[in-house]
Amino acid sequence: MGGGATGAGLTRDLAMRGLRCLLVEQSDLAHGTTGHFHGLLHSGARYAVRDAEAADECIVENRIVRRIAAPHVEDTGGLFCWLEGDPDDYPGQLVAGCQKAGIEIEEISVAEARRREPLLTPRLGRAFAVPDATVEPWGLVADNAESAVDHGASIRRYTRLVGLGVEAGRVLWADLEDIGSGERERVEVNFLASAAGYWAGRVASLAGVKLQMAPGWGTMVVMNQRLSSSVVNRCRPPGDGDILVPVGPVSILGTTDTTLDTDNYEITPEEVRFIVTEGAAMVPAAAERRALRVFAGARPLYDPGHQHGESRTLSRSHMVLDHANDGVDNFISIVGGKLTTYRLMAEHTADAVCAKLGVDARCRTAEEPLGEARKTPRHYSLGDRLTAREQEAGGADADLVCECELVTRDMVREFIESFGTPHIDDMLRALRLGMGPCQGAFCMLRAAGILERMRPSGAAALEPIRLFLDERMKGDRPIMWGDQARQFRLNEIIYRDVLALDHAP
Amino acid sequence: MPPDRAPYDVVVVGLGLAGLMAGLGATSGGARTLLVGKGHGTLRFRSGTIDVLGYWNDRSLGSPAEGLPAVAAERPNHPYALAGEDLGSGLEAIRTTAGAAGLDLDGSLEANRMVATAAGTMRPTCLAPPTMRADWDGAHVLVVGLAGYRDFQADLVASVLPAAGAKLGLEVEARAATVDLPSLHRHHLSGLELARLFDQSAFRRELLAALRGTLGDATVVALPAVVGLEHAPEAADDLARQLGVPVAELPTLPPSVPGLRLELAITAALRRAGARLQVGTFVRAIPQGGRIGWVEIQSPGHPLRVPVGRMVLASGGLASGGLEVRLDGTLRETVAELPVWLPESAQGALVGRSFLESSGHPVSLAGVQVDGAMRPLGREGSPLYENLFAAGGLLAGADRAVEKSADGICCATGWRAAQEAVA
Amino acid sequence: MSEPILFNVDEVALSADRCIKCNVCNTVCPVLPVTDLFPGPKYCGPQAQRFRSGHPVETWVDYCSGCGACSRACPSGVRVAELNARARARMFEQRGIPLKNRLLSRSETLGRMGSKAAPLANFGLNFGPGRVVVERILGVPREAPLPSFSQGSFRRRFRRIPQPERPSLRVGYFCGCTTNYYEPRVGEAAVRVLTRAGIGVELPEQHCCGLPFISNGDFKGARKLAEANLKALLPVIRSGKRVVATSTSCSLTLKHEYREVLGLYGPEWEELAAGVYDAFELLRELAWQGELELDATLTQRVLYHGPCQLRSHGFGFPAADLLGTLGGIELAESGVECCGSAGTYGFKGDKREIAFRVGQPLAARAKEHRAEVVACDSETCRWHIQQLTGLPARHPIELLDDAWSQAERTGD
Repeated sequence: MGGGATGAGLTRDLAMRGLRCLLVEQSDLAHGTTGHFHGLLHSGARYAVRDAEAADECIVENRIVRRIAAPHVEDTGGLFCWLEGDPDDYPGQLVAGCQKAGIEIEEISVAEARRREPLLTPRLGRAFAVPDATVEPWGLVADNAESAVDHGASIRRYTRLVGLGVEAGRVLWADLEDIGSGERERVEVNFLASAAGYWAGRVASLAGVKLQMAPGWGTMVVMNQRLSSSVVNRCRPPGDGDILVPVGPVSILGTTDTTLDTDNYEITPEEVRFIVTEGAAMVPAAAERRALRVFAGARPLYDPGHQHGESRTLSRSHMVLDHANDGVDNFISIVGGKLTTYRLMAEHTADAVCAKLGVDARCRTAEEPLGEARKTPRHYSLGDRLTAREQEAGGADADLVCECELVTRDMVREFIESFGTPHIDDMLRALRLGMGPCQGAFCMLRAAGILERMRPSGAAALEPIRLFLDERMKGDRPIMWGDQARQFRLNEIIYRDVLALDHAP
Repeated sequence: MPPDRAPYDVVVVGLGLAGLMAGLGATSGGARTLLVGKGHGTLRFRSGTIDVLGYWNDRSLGSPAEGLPAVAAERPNHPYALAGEDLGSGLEAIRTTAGAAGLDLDGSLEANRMVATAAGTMRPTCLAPPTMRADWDGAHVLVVGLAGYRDFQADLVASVLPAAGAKLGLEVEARAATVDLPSLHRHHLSGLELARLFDQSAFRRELLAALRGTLGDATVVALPAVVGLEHAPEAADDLARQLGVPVAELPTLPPSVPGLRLELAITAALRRAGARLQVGTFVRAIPQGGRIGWVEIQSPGHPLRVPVGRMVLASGGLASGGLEVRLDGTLRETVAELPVWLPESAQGALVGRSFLESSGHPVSLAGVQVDGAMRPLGREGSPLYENLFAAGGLLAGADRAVEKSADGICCATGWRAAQEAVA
Repeated sequence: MSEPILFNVDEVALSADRCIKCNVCNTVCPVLPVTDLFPGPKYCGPQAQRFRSGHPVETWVDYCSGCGACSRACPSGVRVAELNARARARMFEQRGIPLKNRLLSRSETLGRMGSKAAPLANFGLNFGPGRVVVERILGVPREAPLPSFSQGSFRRRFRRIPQPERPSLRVGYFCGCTTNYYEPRVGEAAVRVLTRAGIGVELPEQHCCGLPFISNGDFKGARKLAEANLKALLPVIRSGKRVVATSTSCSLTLKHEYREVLGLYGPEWEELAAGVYDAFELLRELAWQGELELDATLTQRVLYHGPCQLRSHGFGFPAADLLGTLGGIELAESGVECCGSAGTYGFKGDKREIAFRVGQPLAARAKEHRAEVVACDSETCRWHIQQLTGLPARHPIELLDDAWSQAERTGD
């Protein structure tokens, strides 16, 4: 259960060990926390002072992910920036912690830091370079899923788990509902592994198991252009709003921490202003530049004796929960953790599953590269799509569906062919369509048109646009100022004034 | 500086439809007129039609005339309530100006006509080029897509159009055909490039050859609104004649070719009338006592100060930069720092949750409040400057996206402001 | 030497943020309609900008002519043209600046050398085989219009022009390479007009403004010239004199391109920008203040073309405003954004065809107006327009000089 990084990684691992697996995901792959995080492939430095185990795990997995998923990783490097007024004992602790965990850390001069990052604040006192990187989660998850399928697994997206049949301490069947058609199917279950993130509690309750999750919601602000080329961290005990992460053409500012058991976390403008202000402490331009959209993701934290409050100080290491302890023998949940260590989480979970099933096979997921990484060790680089346009198309743009993010007609067609009748939002995740400054203003109509041509739906052909528009609203409402407010009004002119979608059939 | 040395009688700030209408009004009143703006206005994004009033109180209106009395009664600060008879005069002015450039804008306040769009939907409008009106009821539409032109998705249009018609009680049948022509194999193919191709008879021959034999029982051929730029009426007429059926243009994503046709017609008329147009710089209005003393044109290095006799501020709304939302969520008018009126509903969130919310978004009603003479009002309700007038998207009191009223408001208030400015 | 702010982080680069993808820039670009090789300013500027990280940049950015129409038309304030100019420089940085670009940049050196050997140089330029050589080395097609070198430097001629005894104000004249080496008569006309208006004119030390270097992607060379001009002209400005230029390309470079294209920021550069004026800008200011009467006649059919760089000044067309007040003149304006030459762009082999096509609407307008002469404030535009229309092209200040000289002779 669960098509995020952990679930896809687990399915791959188990499939590679010879088990026949079915992965069930209620929405699109990487739709949950995996698709709503800041993109940071931790070096572990962030945890080095307070959580040595987490730091160690991070650096080891950081190196593995860089290798096995090279095309989805950008080798940005990271900087820890100590500003005048920050606690002056922290740098020493940071260096010591990193050295202990085997994380390469080097103090560089302020001048050198500024040369690398010209937008850094004048209040920069000291700077430390660490091997942070950034990772693009959808490609990572898609490659894991593809590898799983190559090894015999099946994957069902947009499929909800609506019931579990438990008898004599075992899960016997699972009722699955196809969200599009509403059809239900009962599937026989030999073993149930839940990697459902912060929904793990709900899966468990269907099996009669009590599993208290404490979703720690964090809000992130996406800036329209890169403000830095490496990850910028604040050199002080980890807190809110202390990272700036370059991901693709944007910079992501983050994050906050509010424990709330909800599916619809409401981001407020105040929260956004806070994040922007904190980010501006390190890079002043953050407060002046265009915020493109905001989103929130929930850390899938597990706390058996939980009190509402800040969840950051809980150990962020993951936990594999064997529900034999709760009276259901063939059911395991994996909770906690972070994307950087997804593969390790999957490995631990797969080890536990195999142990219970008496399967003697070892994990090889760290050894075998994924997808394109099998052919090339080359990491992602910002200019890749632009260079590809130059080399393959000589600067042409007639075939661009999404101009902001350089997504071509062929890319969209291929995606539709592989994925049936995707939502435009699925195209957004997989191709970055609609992620740019215009937030889909132009590509929405074009993508809907291509979709209608390839998968006709008749009078409902505009529905994908309406859904996409409302998805965009979620991320735009809390930042309705400046250039984004202008963009909103232009998009309203296009879709209401001109194309009259508000009176669509 | 002595007033009779002022180089211009009227300075219009803003080059959108309202500003251009104000310019037409000022020059026709004999005023020496300067029009200055940061860039071009939203005419180049819209449809090239004049939408006056399509919806009021959730009701689709058979004509603007039908809804205008209710507007005046229910919302006295609505620009139509304030502009009164100048709506008719403004429409007459734009029709005449467009006509002088060979562009017909048919229609009247007594009837709304349905325009079909590149989304397959239908939208009411008041004045439109003949190519945008068709006899939809009982029509068999052949929707022609052009391979490589991504802003017109024929299958989508053909899928949606019949249902859109049905919603209005019209029986419309539609099917799609996409033609691939050698001329379309280009690196760059936007609506503008296509429009220039349509201007050429050789391209039209290519298209006609490809369409031969595909018409079937079609009574209308629907194309994207790119049928010609400089020779638009001839291009459409030529096609219709050769096809034997009318050609309908469907407005699509920016850049708007019909909008550009209209804008070029108006600016040509302004130049003929001796107006000076300056594109490219931000402008600030500098007060001097109870009047606007100068406009400061932000040219590089040092600004140009132009003394102002009368000034019409037509800098547009949110999309044009005439209004902006600050980081703290408050609104600012960017040229003269006029107070911005916000409706009660916008005291909370500026926008709703659903993009296509039927009641519209609170921020859409925000803007500069004016009196019946188009003079911007201060917070206590009296005009701030004796020689300042405002028009267009900048004005408060109308949700143009919901009402489908943007162009009519520009024509009415732009014309009105000019009348007041030259009085 | 002042260190320019790195390209991807200053106000100009970050202005790409303001792009709402409205496409208005694409509707005004004069190159887009005439070639399929250029994807347009929106792509070249704010769209590609988000993906540029110092890696090799696209070759097609070289098709941007630098006319600036996009920046002017952008309602959001995106510095599209400046982004394109920087992209071009970055591209040349990665791929190396072609020799012909380097040579074309050096207009000052070329001018000085040519001027000293003017008759011979002119012979070479007018003689077939000479043009073939120029085509091979400079990439300037043999049929492209080239100005003749002028004998003697402008400074010598300047000294012969009488100054007003009690000038109402004083200015420093920035004559530019063209006046200095190719067309001193423009400079002479300018000084005569200014002095007749009661303005005392000095000729300060000055250097090529650097625009040819900028357009050909040699930012390093351009910055050296910028520094030299800052040093030479600041004292002039600080002594209370405005720096006045007749070439609108030179003046725009001094007050705008140094900052927004070359990335040279700071109070001194602001001071320089504040002190640079176009000659007609100054004359119009005086006219508006009632301190200048243009009581003269010029019976000619004139088509005025405000060059693209003049439009970027943002103060309209003061030359047209003033010429329009002359008695007997039949003045029309071209109404087009660009004649096609855009500095040295239109003179380079592969761009010549584009420049010719871009210029067609202007040629049509000249014919429509039955113009006898085309007035234009920029030199390369004039050379191109002459070839485009077959009509003489003159700086508007020459026409004003003509009118005033005539008035003096007839005692009007």
